[in-house]
Amino acid sequence: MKYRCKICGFVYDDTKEKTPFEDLPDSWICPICNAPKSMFERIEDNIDDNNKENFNKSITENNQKTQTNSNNNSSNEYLNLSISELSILCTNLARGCEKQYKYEEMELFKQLAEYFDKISPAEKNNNVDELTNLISNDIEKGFPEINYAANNVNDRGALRVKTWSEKVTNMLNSLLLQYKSVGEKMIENTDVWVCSVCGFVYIGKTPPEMCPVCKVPSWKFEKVEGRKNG
Amino acid sequence: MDKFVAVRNLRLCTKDCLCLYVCPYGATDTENSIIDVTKCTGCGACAKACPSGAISMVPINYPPQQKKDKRVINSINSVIKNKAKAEKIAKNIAENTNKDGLFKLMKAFERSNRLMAEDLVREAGYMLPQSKNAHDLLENLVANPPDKNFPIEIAKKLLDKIPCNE
Repeated sequence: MKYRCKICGFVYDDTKEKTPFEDLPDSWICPICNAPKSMFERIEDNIDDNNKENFNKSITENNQKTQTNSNNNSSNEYLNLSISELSILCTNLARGCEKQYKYEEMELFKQLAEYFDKISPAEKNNNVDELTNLISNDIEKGFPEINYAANNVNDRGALRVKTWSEKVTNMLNSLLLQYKSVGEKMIENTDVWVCSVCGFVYIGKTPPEMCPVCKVPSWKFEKVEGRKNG
Repeated sequence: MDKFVAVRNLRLCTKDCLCLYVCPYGATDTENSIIDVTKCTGCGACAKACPSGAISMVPINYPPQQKKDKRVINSINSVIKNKAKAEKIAKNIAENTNKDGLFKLMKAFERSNRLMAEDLVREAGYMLPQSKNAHDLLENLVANPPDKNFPIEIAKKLLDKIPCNE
């Protein structure tokens, strides 16, 4: 039997390992990306890919009636965006300028983002449970909807971002679960890293050689600094 | 033909200096290793000669970005909303906790959610700063600023410096 990590794609092959997958303890983690055992899915030989294709096809067929297929996205009511979303939009455009080596424009967008960050209102429920709720909402509803809409119009860019952020969100979910059960011990004598491209979070002394989600090299990882004393 | 300008990636540059030998305008020979865009004519000689592939020819004008389907945009936007909320919540938890581990974890969550949201925003119609979407947004902000202290000059400057390509 083979099992695949839903985050990084690592395959655990029962026939090649000493311990069958089922007998591994719950505390066992993916050797590549540290994802928990629960992130592994059994690979059904052969039928896996076919099934996926049929599933996508049926989604497209079912949806043809309701499909609006409008390419008109000119309505730009920025007021529909929350202040914190405007900040995100601006840091994204700052990044777009940076990639084009337009550093002055990058700074201007960053200043707009800072302004929005400053005036954006606080959230109501500032606790870990609310984070879990938001994550579950994305996993159960948000990502399947992007998947459905993007498959309809064969928008591979949207499918790409869905794949990446779904994996990262799954990882955040399992980190939260782990923190809830292990507590502070989870982050003692180790470091926390964030992939600066896709947002994948990794806990370990050194970052992985390659990001398991977006495949950039280790130097693209940022170390999260601890709190400054005093 | 579209114009290009040479840019050196300092991370890849191994200082073989062939770009200095081949540039007819001296644009690649600078004290800070950044190619002088006022001298560069976009001929591409340096990029072809560079043995480490550290120089790329960056276009001055970009093609319009891909049009996005309304439903795709809507579905992505609802995830962005959650990521924006999660970012703020993680930030707040980090600021108010006295536990070092939770602080680091929440700082990572704050950053991670911002990065995911930025990427999602790109696929929801805001890939290029030159796009009509980005322009419309800036114009909208100038016309209807969200509050009195909104830095209108910054938005105007951006409109001025980045021409719309659609």
